[in-house]
Amino acid sequence: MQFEELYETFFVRVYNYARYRCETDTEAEDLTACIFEKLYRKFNSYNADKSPIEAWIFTIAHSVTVDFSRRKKIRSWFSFTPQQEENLPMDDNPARTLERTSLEEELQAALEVLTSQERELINLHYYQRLKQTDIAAITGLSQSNVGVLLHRAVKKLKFKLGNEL
Amino acid sequence: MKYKNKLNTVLESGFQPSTTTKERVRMVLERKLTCHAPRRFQWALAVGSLLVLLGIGLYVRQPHPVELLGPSALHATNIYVAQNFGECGPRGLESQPDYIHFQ
Repeated sequence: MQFEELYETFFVRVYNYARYRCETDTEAEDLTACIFEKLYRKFNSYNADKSPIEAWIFTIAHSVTVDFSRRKKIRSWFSFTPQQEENLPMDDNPARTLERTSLEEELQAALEVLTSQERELINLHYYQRLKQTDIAAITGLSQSNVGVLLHRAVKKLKFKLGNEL
Repeated sequence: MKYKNKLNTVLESGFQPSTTTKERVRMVLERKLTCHAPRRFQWALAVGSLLVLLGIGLYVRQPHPVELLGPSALHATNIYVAQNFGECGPRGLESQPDYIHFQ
């Protein structure tokens, strides 16, 4: 598989991984670019015998996202913009906001009540349809811990959004 | 059951990136891959800059005149100060609040 093919095949999935983790579309685009940059640099070291390509991609995506969040936190210390303004819901791109479907609105509302880690697990489990063993390998958590965290996240969603959904 | 299905539908739906999003990410990626300086180079640049700054700092710093004097010259200076600014010699001057003992 060439990198161009990988980009075309996995763009939507990687973008969604980033989008589940980020507050805004713009940030998700930045993070997606960072993930693909790392994938490009590591592309020659991928060994298909060792792990399936999905696990490899999302392991890299996980590590890039951790770095990205850390850098974002450091940047926010030196930022003149108040923290509350930075965390406003994703209205930074009005054109994109208009395009958004009602299902996307509901998904965004659901994600807002979850922590970053819970969002990642929800994405990997529900959207990427990965098994809990794969998720554990990607995130570095134990399989039972993944199960517990997923259960808690869904419970939280039911409790918070029960009336809205 | 119906509620659970609805929740699953929402969580599984995902976000649909527009074609402009895809193109924008591609452009950012291309820029990163072509223009971005290698990380090792950035580290080398940072460490090099620090060393240059340190060198400039050491070069600019002027030694205090007293640092240039040897022990015998310091002793002579103490005696000179005592003789010119006090009547009791160096020992008597040590009790004075503004006495400076060069070392």
